[in-house]
Amino acid sequence: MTFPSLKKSTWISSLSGIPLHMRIAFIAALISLVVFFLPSLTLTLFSAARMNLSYFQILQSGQMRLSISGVKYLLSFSDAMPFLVLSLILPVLVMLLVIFYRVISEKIPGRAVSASALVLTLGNLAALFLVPAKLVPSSVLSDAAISGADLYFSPQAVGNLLIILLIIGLFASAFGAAGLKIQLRMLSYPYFLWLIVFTVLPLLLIFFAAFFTKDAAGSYSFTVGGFQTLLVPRVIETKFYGLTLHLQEYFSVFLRSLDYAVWTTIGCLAVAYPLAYALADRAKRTHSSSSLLLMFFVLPMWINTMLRTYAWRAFFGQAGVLNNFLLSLHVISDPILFLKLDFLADFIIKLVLVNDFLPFMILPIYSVLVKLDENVRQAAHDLGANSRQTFSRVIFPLSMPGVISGIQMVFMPSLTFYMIPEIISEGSVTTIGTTVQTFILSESTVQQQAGNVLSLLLLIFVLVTMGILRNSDKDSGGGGMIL
Amino acid sequence: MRKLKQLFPNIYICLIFIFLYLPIAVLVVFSFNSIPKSFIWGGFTLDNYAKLFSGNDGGELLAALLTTLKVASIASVSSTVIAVVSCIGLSYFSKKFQALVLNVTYIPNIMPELVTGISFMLLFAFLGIQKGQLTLVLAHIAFCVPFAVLSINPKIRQLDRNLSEAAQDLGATQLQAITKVIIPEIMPGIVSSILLTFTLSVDDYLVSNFNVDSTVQTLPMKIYSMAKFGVNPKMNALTAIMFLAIFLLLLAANVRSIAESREKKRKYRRVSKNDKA
Repeated sequence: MTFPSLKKSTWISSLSGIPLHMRIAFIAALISLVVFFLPSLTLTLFSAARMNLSYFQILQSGQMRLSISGVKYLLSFSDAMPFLVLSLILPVLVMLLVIFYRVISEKIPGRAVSASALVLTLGNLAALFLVPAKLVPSSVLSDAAISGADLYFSPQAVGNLLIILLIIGLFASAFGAAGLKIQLRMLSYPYFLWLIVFTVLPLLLIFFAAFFTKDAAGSYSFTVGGFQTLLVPRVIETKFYGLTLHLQEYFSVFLRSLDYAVWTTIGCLAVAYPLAYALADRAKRTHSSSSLLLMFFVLPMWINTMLRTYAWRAFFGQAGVLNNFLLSLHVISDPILFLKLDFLADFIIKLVLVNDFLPFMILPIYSVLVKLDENVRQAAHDLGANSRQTFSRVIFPLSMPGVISGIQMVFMPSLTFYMIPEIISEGSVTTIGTTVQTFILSESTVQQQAGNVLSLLLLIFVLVTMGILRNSDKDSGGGGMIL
Repeated sequence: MRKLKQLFPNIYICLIFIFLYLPIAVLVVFSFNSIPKSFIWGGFTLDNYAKLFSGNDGGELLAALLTTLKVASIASVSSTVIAVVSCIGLSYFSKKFQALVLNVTYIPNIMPELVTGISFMLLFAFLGIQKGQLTLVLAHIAFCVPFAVLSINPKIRQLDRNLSEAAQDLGATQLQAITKVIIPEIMPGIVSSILLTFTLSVDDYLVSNFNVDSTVQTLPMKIYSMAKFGVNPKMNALTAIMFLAIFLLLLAANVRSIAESREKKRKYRRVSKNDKA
């Protein structure tokens, strides 16, 4: 699909008659020139950021005094000078090329102009890239007996953004040089790159990191150390609903997390379904979207989870609100240790989890129920179903998509959400989340790999569960339709 | 009889309401407590609010709050911009290809957040980017993008394809068609996308935790470490302020739709009255 050229544009009127790709190159060059005068480089010494400098400041001063462990050195920037000058001149040249595009394109074809813009932008990008690398001369490094990793210049966020912009400018001029027209679908091309880098690549890396480790030499080798760490034949004693079980260490941790997740999901469903039903019923009866009432049920979701969990601990704690209240009523003479009694603590953790995830279950079920046609119920009644049959064989199957997506939104996060058990039990309960966290953030590579293996297993477990849920959704949805 | 029938659901709604708001109410009430670090009521005071950002941990709290607000603003705006631009471009591809891209986009939504955080950590290690502010911002943008696409793509799909062509027939350029026709049309999606991604980013703990070094701390991380160390009256005051801010924000976002629904209701009543007459 092609679009008419931009002849009638009023956008930057001084640049009218210039193709879009050249304007993009112009903007990239202009911003590059502006960034030249902004502090965009950070001097880092022994992994501590020392000062921020702009390219222009470096070009002006030419040298810098620096003291490394008490000895003063003179940092000369002469190596980087040519590149600094280039990165000042090249954007100006690109801008001139675009401003005089009409004059120039009368003499040489437009594609050649784009090609020269491409070369200039490429040079600009290369110069900007090379400056940080060339700023620290190797003589200073060898004199001070430090490595390049101890003293270096690195671009700040502004500098990184600039590089992205210049790459866009590069693509734009390449387009012009290749004689292509800019189409709207090209807007999504950067996104494909983004998806590959931030969605596909991380997934592949999790698979990779579960089986391969990087050794000291920097090469990757295949090991199963992570699996061995996880499957270590160490049996620990755990209390599970009053039963004392002897289970493999990490299996018992997984079982406990699964127990939390399953009960959270069941609890949320049991509490949220009637509520969503009542709210939807109310909304239908009063013919309003009842968005205000619904908002009040969703609002706690936006308050930080940790704060709410902390509040629950304050409520049930030894010197907490509930104990103080009961003491003042003389119901009890000594405070009850709600959070220290095994069974009760377990229940309170699940209660807090339900409290936290409840809005995620209410919303999807409500949104399905509120859209349900009232005539469906009427039709079931007319066909002889009583109200219980109507609910169990018509309404509930039809609300299944909402239930499924509610389960998805509750079960999966509650499996790995370790902060609530951690805060409530004050660190005495180990869940799968804490295990992964301690593994990943530990120093030893074997433990890190074990963490990667565990997250891979978690990922597979969740994906399989979700897959089963999706399929059952299809079945029940179909059944509902047949009825 | 009919009133009695409605009584039970109403009681149930009230009970769940109390259950949801109990923790928040506890914190808000005791944020005015004059006995520090205690949940025994000692009298009304505003001390906790006055001292919120003073002292050692108060300064850290303020720094964490500012970091979180900064990261959340960058992440919400960037992810929304990425989603708008990509979705506009994507709408010119075939349905099959769109479905493929969207499926890949939504993969992170069904991954546990913990695993998402670890996968970004592995990615940054692979790319050789030092952990710090940059990785924090990038990770936040990355996990916000699927949610931004989720709220913007349906709006673009609802758009009439002829709309931008009509605008161009009327003399608008390609760019004007986007800025003056398409963007205003999908504005509700953009607003909800910014709201959603902002709150997701503010509330995030798991992804941030794996993608920062020790120099940067977000508000949830600070709150988590404070919550671990027992009772702190500052947390109560912070909850109360956050609750008020979010309440006002949501109220403002909902005022229009509430007004619209009232209008609808009034019209409906008028119609039904006419019917009866």
